[in-house]
Amino acid sequence: MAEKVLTARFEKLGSHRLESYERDHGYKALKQALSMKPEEVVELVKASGLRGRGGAGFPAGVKWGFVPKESEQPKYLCVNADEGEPGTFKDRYIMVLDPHAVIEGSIIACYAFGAHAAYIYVRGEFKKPQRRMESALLEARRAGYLGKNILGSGFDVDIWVHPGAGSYICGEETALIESNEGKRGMPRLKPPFPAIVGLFGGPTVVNNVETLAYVPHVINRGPEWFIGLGSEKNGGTKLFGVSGHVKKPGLYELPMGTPLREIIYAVCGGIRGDKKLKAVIPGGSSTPVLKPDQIDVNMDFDSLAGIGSMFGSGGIIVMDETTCMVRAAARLAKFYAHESCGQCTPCREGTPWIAKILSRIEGGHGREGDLELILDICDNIQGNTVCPAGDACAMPVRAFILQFRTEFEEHIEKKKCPIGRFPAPW
Amino acid sequence: MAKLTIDGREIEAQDGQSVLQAALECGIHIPHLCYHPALKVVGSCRMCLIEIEKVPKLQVACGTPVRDGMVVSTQSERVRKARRGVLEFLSINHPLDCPVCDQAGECKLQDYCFEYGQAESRYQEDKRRFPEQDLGSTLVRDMNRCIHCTRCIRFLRDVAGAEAFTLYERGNRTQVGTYLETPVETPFSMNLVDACPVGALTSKHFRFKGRSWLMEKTRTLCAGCSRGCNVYAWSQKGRVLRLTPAENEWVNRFWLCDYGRLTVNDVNADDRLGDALRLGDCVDPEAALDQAAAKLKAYVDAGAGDKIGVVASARLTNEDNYLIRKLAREVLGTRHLAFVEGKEDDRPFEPSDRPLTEWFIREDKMPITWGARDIILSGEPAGDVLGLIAKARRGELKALLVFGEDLTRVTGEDRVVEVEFLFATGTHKTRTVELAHIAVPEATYLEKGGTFTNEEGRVQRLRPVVAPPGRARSAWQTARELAGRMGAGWSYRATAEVTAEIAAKVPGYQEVDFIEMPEEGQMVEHA
Ligand SMILES: Cc1cc2nc3c(=O)[nH]c(=O)nc-3n(C[C@H](O)[C@H](O)[C@H](O)COP(=O)(O)O)c2cc1C
Ligand code: SF4
Ligand code: SF4
Repeated sequence: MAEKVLTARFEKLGSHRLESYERDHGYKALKQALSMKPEEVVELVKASGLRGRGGAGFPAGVKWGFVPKESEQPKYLCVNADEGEPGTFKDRYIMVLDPHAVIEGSIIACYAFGAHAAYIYVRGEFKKPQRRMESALLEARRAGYLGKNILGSGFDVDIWVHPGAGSYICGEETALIESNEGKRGMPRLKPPFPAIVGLFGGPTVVNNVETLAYVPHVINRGPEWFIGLGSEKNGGTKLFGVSGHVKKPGLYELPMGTPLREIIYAVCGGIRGDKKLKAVIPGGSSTPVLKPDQIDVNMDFDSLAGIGSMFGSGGIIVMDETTCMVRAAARLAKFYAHESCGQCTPCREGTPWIAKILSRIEGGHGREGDLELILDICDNIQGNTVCPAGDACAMPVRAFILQFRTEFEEHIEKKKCPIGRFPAPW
Repeated sequence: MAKLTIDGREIEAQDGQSVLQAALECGIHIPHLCYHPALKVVGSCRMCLIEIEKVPKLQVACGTPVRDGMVVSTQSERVRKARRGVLEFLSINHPLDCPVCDQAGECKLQDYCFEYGQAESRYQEDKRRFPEQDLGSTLVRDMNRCIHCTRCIRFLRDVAGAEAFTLYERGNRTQVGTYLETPVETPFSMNLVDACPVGALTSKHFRFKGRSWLMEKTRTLCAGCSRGCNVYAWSQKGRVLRLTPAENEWVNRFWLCDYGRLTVNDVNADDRLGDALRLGDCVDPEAALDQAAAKLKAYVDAGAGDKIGVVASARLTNEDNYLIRKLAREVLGTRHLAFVEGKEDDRPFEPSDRPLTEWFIREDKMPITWGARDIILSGEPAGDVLGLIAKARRGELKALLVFGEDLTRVTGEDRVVEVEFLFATGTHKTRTVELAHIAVPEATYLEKGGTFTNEEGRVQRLRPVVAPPGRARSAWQTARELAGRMGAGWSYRATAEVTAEIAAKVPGYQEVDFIEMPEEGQMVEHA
């Protein structure tokens, strides 16, 4: 088995306590970072090529570098712990089992781009992660890692938990900022970008929990080590949350670039009941679905983009031959329609339209031309919305239809599910 | 300065402007719905999508700052398709009830669907229905027509300083309205009707009264207070049906308060005066003027001209007041001239309702208190109205001429004053008109031309919108008739001639030009 980094401490008793973290060289990276110039920290993270683990894969060091050095407004870090994308379950484990890694990474990030305050925006339903983060923050504050003049460095920083108000869209970075300000969680129009005008009007970086938890390791062990775990542009390991019809679903830490086939068959033990594989969503519900003949792909940002899908957040959803693709697509569209913030026209009106047509087809009332219509609606949504949530619905729906077109057509012609599934009750 | 190309046309724009602002300034219309020049840009309707060379995605013109060398297309096939898509999305759940919608004819959604939309609907699913919500005495909400542009919310929050409206629910269940159906009773609520680009918010006052394409639209002024807001008066069959704001960057920007809008009710009231009255009975106006002039001439001939009191008003036009003054000074030869002016302490709203920006109703509810000071006083001291009445009560005045005012409102009593001869003009059947020996009907501000000088010294043009009822005319015309009958030989035929004389005679007004007056008015110096 390959090296474990983020999950290395997960199974230790009391892994979430400060003493356990310190025993495992916790906060050593912070001390080292504080001895460097902030720009040097940014350069080091840039050199590692560490890419954001929240979905878009934007290099973290580059993002920090966008923040202006001088700013009249205070700068902020927002830690994105909203984890709402269906199929994704990783940040919650980091927060519960190794909260100090998130805190240490956040402090280093703040130091690197000059923020003195950070908020960990934890999804509303995540009560345990919220409590864990709170008590870890308390420990860190008592130990002098947070507060004024931390570790005698002259640098002030503090971090607070902001419980989310319960909406998927609050995971989108600008909606998160609005919600963190106490407003209705609605994405903002860009420009201005958060790095220039973000939380409370100040320059702001939004980073995913997993991204930040990796930062101390990058500082401790250097960019070469990080790249060596994966590849040049896709360094490090990654947390994969595998769910669906595999024998051993769960959270796995694997090197970037591990082939999808290996994950499904070697790591997760193959398909439940040794049935045939039908479809895989590779990185959370918004990423375009793959067919069985595509699973030799390496699981990293560029390889998946190369075959027209996306790496996303590492949430792999495996579906076997008993799964109705129309139903899967309809359920997914319903989710995005329900979670649209309602601000912009194509997403607000288009996503429920798609959901209605799909569930009509599933219910045996499909019409000729429905598929063309859905594809055209997807066209009219994609790229035309305020935030990428519109795309998050259009892209997977289009992929389901294009990849499994005959199954959709059979539904429409036979007016029922060809594999004998009854329509969903919703 | 940035130079950019829009649809092949090179234009110049100021740095920091958005592509939409720059395009609109050059007369290139990029369709837009949620953008409003006075409100924060949110870019949510997605109507103004444009294609920019070397930028992969379409961008919203309202939220894209201009850049030097930018090449923009607003008509490419990609843009047209996206725009058609947005219009389709906006229409699928819309009730398509244009025939019974008040906004029809001035609805941006309707116009854009006509220009860019597709005729046939591809939508075969159930339409969304929203529950009714009562918003109080001025507004009607039909959420089914709402396009979620949030202009209403932004108007209330950013301009009126009221957090009354909000979004609730999400996705396509999102509603715009008030929490727990609280009525919207701000003094500015009817601006929401103008801010709303569609028929989702309509006016209880105007609802179902007229179709926009059958009405005539005249740019004029509101006479509700001393601000002098620019308005469009919408009339049909000789009746003004509503007032809406006309843009004037310096006076009211895009807004008009509810009080001002509803002054139209006074114009349309049942108790308007259309005939001349003698002690309350109808008489022929010409005969009435003959009698009044004869009576006045008798005083003047007997050397008692100075025993005549004349009351002008800050409710009239500059032209009215100018000829009233001239009548008093030159024809009657009296020093007893006063005018009714606005009261400063007349609070239009509670302090807590005070808008964030200063674009609304003023405390002085008379349109030309300042103009009347300039014109009636012209540097001389004049007695105030109460002083004049006191003189009459002491028997020092034999006759009283009251233009356009109900003196009982000034005295607060039911009677005016006992004089030998009381002459009055009035727009309505007021107590003064009833008690007058001779009364002649007077036109309101929507029925006559002229100028107003507002509180900051801005002279603006008032235009006649509809004909006055019966034989009503402007006070300056009544003054001219009286003067003519007394042998003064005045030759004014049109308002402009009076304005020209004001420009020539009244200090500070020399630049005022009735015919060439710019839309935003002309500034004068108060004496
Ligand atoms: C609709 C939507 C939902 C998102 N939800 C999450 C989320 O739950 N957690 C997350 O980390 N990023 C989420 N993102 C991505 C964030 O916008 C942002 O890119 C990310 O937090 C940046 O962090 P990173 O650079 O460290 O990946 C979401 C994006 C969109 C468009
Ligand atoms: S794309 Fe959807 S979620 Fe994003 S701003 Fe528009 S309506 Fe809101
Ligand atoms: S009510 Fe009118 S102004 Fe308000 S959001 Fe709806 S369409 Fe826009």
